[in-house]
Amino acid sequence: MTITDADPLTDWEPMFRALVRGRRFDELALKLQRQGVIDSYGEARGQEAAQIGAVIDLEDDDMVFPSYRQPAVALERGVPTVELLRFYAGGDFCPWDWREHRFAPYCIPVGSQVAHAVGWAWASRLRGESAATVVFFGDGAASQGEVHEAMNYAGVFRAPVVFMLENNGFAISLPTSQQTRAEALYHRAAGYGIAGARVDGNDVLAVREVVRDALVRARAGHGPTLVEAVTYRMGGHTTSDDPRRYRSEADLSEWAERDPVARFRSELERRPDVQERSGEIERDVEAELDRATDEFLEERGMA
Amino acid sequence: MTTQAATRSRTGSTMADGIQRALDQALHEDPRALVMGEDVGRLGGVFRITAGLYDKYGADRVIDSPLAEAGLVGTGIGLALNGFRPIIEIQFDGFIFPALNQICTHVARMPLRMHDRALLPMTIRLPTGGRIRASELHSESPETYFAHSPDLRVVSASTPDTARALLLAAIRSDEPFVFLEPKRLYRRYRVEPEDEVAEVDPGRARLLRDGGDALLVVYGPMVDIALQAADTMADEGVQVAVLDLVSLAPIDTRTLLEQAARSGRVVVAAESIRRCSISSEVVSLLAVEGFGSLKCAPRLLTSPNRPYPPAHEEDEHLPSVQDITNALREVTA
Repeated sequence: MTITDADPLTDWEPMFRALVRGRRFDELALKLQRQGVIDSYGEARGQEAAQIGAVIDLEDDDMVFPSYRQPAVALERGVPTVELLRFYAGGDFCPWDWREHRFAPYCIPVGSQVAHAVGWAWASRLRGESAATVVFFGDGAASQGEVHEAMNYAGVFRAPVVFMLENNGFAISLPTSQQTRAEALYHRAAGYGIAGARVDGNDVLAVREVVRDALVRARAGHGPTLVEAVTYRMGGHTTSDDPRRYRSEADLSEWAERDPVARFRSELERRPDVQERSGEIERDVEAELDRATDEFLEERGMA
Repeated sequence: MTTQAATRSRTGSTMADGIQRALDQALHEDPRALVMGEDVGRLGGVFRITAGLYDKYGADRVIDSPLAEAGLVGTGIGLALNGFRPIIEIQFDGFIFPALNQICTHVARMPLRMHDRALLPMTIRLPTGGRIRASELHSESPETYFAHSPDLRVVSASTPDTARALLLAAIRSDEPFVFLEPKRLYRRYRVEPEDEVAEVDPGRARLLRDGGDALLVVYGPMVDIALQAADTMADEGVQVAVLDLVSLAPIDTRTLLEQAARSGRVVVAAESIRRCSISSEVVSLLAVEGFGSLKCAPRLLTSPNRPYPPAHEEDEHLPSVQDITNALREVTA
């Protein structure tokens, strides 16, 4: 099978690299936390496709506001791995150059970053720039009044922003079904007079397509879009959490079958022509993280 | 300024005029400056402070915001991060609480979090204080909430001759400011306006009246009342110095201690309640850092530790001129 221009896998390499890098970082950080090297870690396993699909097409001058569970996005925006590790090690609230990478610091008060993204995007529009802004938040944050206010402002002032709602099934322990009576969170877009869409958050190609449309709308001056990416947090809220207390093994294994990284890998496996290259990428990422780990342990005197 | 000098002029400019001229000047001199708030555009604000600016600078620079204070401050943060210098009007003191999360967790912390003291050049203007016979939550003294957020600068206007320069200093600063405007004083006094305003250091307390017998420490809405009390005491032959803190966070400790040491007799007065207040902080500073120069225990006049009452009870709730003169007589007896 040959890859053609119309094929969504045409430029699969950056997506695959970013997905694998996100997953490998997650495993590394979890291991370092278990070893007592870093204090606490909020796993993002299972959400890589929702995250990478939302940022893979961004330009350098586009801006990203994360919540606190987007390591794959940080790395994709060029934040050095060792700096991201420094954050989780408790050494610095923002070890990376957020302006250079156009990746804001993690935001701890849930949902409060959404207004910052709207203001940032609004500033871009006021200056007549084409830059767009993507902000990440979750199904729990969607209950915050500040998120409502921010979306309303974005609609009124046509801010070029994409609201990336990662519905990962839980706000710490509370399932989305108890967070809201609403069947879907993207319906709220209608209440603000803005565009809204729901997408399979474990399908990186689908997320990419939906966000690409949202970015086109934003850059064209048509205002914000609320994208609800339905996904699943396969780990705990943080390493202090015990998800066995509030979810079943059956649920977890059902979602494990939809693992977004495995899913993309299996897409590639159907293509013998890319096998060699994908293997190289996996090894590259492995080596990259090994180097970063060595540097990190060395600066902490643990090498 | 003395109260006599201020009231003498019938044609001069009020504190509201001075604040308006500062906003006009800021918008004129810096294209990054934005005025944002509820009803600040076409209406000119509920106190008409921004009147005329919308017509002069347009809807993109004098922005009528939706009725949502957290969104107002939160989007202001994003605008400031991305190159603008928002000047945000919160309509009334009692309406700022929905924005407290943004102010305390972000405005006050982002410069530290992001290693850049000049990260958030934003000014939050807040009409404060009572004695205007308004409905509930229109006469609050919320300054302590902001002063309790380290790295947030809190200043209060008090007189028509300096409000303009003080606001300009806050706007031009690269640090975030909460700028308090005692609403009772918006149009109470007039002074002849000066074309050029002298620059002021927004971190310095201001000696409004000199006197060697006692020191009266006040800020904001208590300043004109303190000056009246000092006038009364002068008639009795007691010379009272009046120090306007101007900066409530951080407090200009050096000036405070210097002035307190001159007489060693201090009265502190404020509209806010006493518990964990700016004025109790002043007394704490005097006790810890200036105890040796005090000749008697400082007197502290505040509202009682109760919510602000309905309008017809506010006179009993707030310290009066007579309360202050009584305290001054006690410390100088």
